[in-house]
Amino acid sequence: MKKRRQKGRGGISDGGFSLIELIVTILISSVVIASALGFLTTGLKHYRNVNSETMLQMESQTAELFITELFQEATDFKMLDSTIDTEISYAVEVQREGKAYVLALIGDELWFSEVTAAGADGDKLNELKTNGRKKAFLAEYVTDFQIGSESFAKAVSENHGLVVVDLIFKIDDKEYYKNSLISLRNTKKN
Amino acid sequence: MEQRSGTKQKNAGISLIEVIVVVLIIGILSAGTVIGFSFIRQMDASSAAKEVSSLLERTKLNTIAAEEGADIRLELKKEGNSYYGVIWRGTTELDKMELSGRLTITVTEDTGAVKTIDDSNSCEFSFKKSNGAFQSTYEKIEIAGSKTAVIYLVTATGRSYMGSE
Repeated sequence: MKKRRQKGRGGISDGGFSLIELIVTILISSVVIASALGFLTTGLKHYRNVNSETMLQMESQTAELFITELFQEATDFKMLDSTIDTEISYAVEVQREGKAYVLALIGDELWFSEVTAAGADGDKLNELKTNGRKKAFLAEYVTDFQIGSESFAKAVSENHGLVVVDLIFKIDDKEYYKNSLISLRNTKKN
Repeated sequence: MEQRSGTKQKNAGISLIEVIVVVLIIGILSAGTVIGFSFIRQMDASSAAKEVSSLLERTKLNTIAAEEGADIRLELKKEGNSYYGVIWRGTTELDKMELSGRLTITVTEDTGAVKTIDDSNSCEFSFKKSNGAFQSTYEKIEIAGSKTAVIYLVTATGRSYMGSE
């Protein structure tokens, strides 16, 4: 008995660990792990933040470029009555080079597709939906899409050949507002 | 006199409980390793798909930013046993990325024709500078590893996206 005590009180002898040691160890390691985890979550959140910022930027820029080019070369455009379809919240028909195209906001996605020029508004919207995402997907994370002048004639007369396009992109709680002023190149061809 | 196990007796042996506990722990660790390993092997197709997706985006941005007629394209080809994605500007290689994993890449055209990329067959993707739409007319890229990943290409808009449907 005396020999054992000499090795130290409650210290680590070959015998094993005492309960107190165990408790203290667990306490300390839990504090360390908790701080490490906190660091990890902050890092992850930051990464996701930056990632969504980049995605928003890319998405909005490619969509803006596409839509700008679309309207610049348009020979005619008009708003389509989107109340026909509950999924479509906004739709525009654009004509250029004798062909007709529909640009529409479905849910939070912008879709674009060529449609048959001769046809009712509803048919054109149906054609867009039938083409589906695989043929028409343009951009996502879009919460709002508006055209300033609802028709080509109006754009030419009132705004001297200018169209205003408003787009709002949103991921989580980050919003990107894109406002473009597009000058119609084909205004003389009315 | 009481004696605790494993104290005074040197090299006396290991108790049964200790053996059981050790075996259990080793079993759990090795199971975790095996699962992790198979998980990683399944990632080869989807990580290659992500790589191709980002190559497509970069080609598109390069095309938009470059001058007219710069002839920027993405070539997917197979050299030896690996697939590569090469971004070209005319006859200059801008970038070359290796797609890791044991893969088979097939490309489907808008017409429906399917082409497998191998040593003698490569595939080029290009974009329009004016609006970023695809100039090439491919419908989808399928990358088959231990799983299959699909990248859908929307020709009219220049957009590409992954996955089902």
